[in-house]
Amino acid sequence: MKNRVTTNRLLATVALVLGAGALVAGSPYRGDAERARSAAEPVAWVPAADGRVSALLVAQWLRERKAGLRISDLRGVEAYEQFHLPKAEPAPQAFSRGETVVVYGTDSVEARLAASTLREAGMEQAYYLADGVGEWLTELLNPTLSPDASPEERAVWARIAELSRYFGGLPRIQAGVAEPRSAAEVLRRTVRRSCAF
Amino acid sequence: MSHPRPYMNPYLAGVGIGIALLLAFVIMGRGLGASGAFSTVVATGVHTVAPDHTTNKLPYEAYLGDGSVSPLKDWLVFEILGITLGGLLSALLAGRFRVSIDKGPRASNRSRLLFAFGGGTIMGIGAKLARGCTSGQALTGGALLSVGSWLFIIGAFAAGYLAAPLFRREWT
Amino acid sequence: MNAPFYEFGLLGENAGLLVALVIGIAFGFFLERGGLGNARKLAGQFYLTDLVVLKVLFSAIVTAMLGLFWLSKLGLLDLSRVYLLPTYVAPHLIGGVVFGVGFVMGGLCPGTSCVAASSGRIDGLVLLGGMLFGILLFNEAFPLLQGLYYSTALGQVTVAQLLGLPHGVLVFAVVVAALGSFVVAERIEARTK
Repeated sequence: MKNRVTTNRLLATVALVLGAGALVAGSPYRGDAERARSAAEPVAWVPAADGRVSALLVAQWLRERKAGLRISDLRGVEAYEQFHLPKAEPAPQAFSRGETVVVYGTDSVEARLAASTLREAGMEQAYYLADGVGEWLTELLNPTLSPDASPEERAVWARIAELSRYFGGLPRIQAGVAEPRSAAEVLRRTVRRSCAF
Repeated sequence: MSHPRPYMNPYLAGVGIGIALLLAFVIMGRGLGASGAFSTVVATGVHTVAPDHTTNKLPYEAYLGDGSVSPLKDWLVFEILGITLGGLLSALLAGRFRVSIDKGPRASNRSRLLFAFGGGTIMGIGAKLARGCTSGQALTGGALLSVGSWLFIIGAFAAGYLAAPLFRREWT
Repeated sequence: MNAPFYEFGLLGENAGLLVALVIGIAFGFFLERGGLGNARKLAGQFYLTDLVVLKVLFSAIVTAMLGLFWLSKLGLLDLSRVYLLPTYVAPHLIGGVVFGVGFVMGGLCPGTSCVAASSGRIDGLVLLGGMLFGILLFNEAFPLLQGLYYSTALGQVTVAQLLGLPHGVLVFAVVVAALGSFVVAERIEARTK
C-alpha cells in the first residue's frame, strides 16, 4: 500500500510540473500567427472573365437549385466513382444551349480548355472549377479561419461556414498556417474519418 | 484458474491507456474509439441481409465505403479486436477469467441481463448521436480538449449520477 | 521526427490496421488491469462506492493531453495534423446524457463490454448485443433524427480556442482539476469502505 502512495505522489508531481510548464510554454501549434485565409484574396462569388468559378460559387448554385445547372466530371469513371461533386455527371454528355455547365478535371488546364471549347460551340454559360475535387474538398468542405481574423473576414466567413456545413463540411478556426495538403490526403480524411468514432 | 490477483493501481492503468492513446495520435494522427466499430458491424450486417436497404442511405452509407474493399477492414474494427484480445490476455494472466455475471448483491441474473441489454441499447443510441462513446469522445476528445467531447463527458457523468437512484437495487 | 507518421505518408493502410490491433491490445489490457471489465466496479462510480472510472479515465486523459502538448512543443508532432473531433453542441450534450443513463443502467460502455465479454462475463456479451440493437434503432430512425444530428455545429474547436485562452492554460486547468478530483475521490472512498 505504501508503494502505491509513493507511486501516486510521483505521478501527481510529474503531472503538476508538466501542467505548470504548459501554462508558460506558449502555443504548441507549429507555424507563425499567419492568417489561414489571406485577406488579399477575396472570395469569388461571381464567375471570372475566362469562365473560372470557385467551389463556393458552385456550392451556392447547387444549394439554391439553380435551374439548368449541369456539372461535368472529366476525370474518368474510376475517379468519378471514388468521389465526385454532388450532381456531377461523368463526361461526355450533350448539353442544351440554355444550361449552365461547370466542368472540372484532374488539372486546371484541362478544365479551362473544356469550358472554352463549350463556349466556342455556343454554350454561353460554360464555366470551370480550376482545382476540381481538390478545391471542393479544401475550400468548401474544410475551410479555415484564423483566430485573429478581422470583422470583415468574419462576416464573409459566416457565409462560407454555413454553406460548408450544408454540404457536410467542417469549417474550423485554426491558428497558424496549415501546411498545404494534397487532394488525396484531404479526401481520405473527409470521406473515411469524419464519422468513424 | 488460480486465485484472482488484485487490480492494478488505477492511476497507473490510466497512464498505460493514456500512452496507448498517445501512440495512436503520434502514429496515426487519430485517437481511439469503440462505438464506431459497432456501427460498422451493424452496417455490414444489414447490408449483407438487405443490401437495397443500405444503398444511398445515411448513416449506413458512411460505414460501407464504395464496395471495393470490405467495410470490416477498418481501423476501429481492428482496434476493437485488439481490445477484446488484450482484455482476455490480462484476465487470463491475473486469474480473473471466469464465465459469470457481474452484478450487484441484490440483483438477480435475469434483471442484470435485462438491464444490460436495455442499457446497451440506450448507450448505442446515445453514442450514435454523440458520434462516439467513452473511448472516442471522452478519452480521445477529452485529451484533445475538444468542446463537444467535454460536453459529452459532463452530460454523461451528470446523467449517470441523476439516473443512479433508479437502478440502486441493481448495484447496491 | 515527422509525426503523425501516417499523415506524413510514413506508413500504409495495412500497417495502420496492424497498429490498430496492437494499440487495441494495450488498451484492452490496461482496462482489464484496472478492473474496468467488471460492471460492478464501473457502476460503483455513480454510487460513490468505487471511483475507479474517474481515476482511470482522467489519468488517461491527462497523460495523453500532456503528451500531445509536449511532443508538439518539442517539435516532434504536428498537432494541427491530429484529427480533432468536430463539435455539435446539442448532439454531444444530449447524446452524452442519453449515454450516461444507459451507462449506469448497464454498467459497461462499448469498449469495456468487450473486455468484460472476453473475461467470460455474460452480461458483457448481452450488453454488447444491446448496443448493436441500439445502433440499428438509431440508423432506422435516422430520417427523424437527422435534423438534431447535424444541428449546432461549431466545427473543429478546442475549449481553448472557444474561450480565447492559450492552449497551455487549459492543459494546466485540466491537470489541476484531475488531481483535485483524485484527492476528493480517495477521501470519498475511504469513507464508504
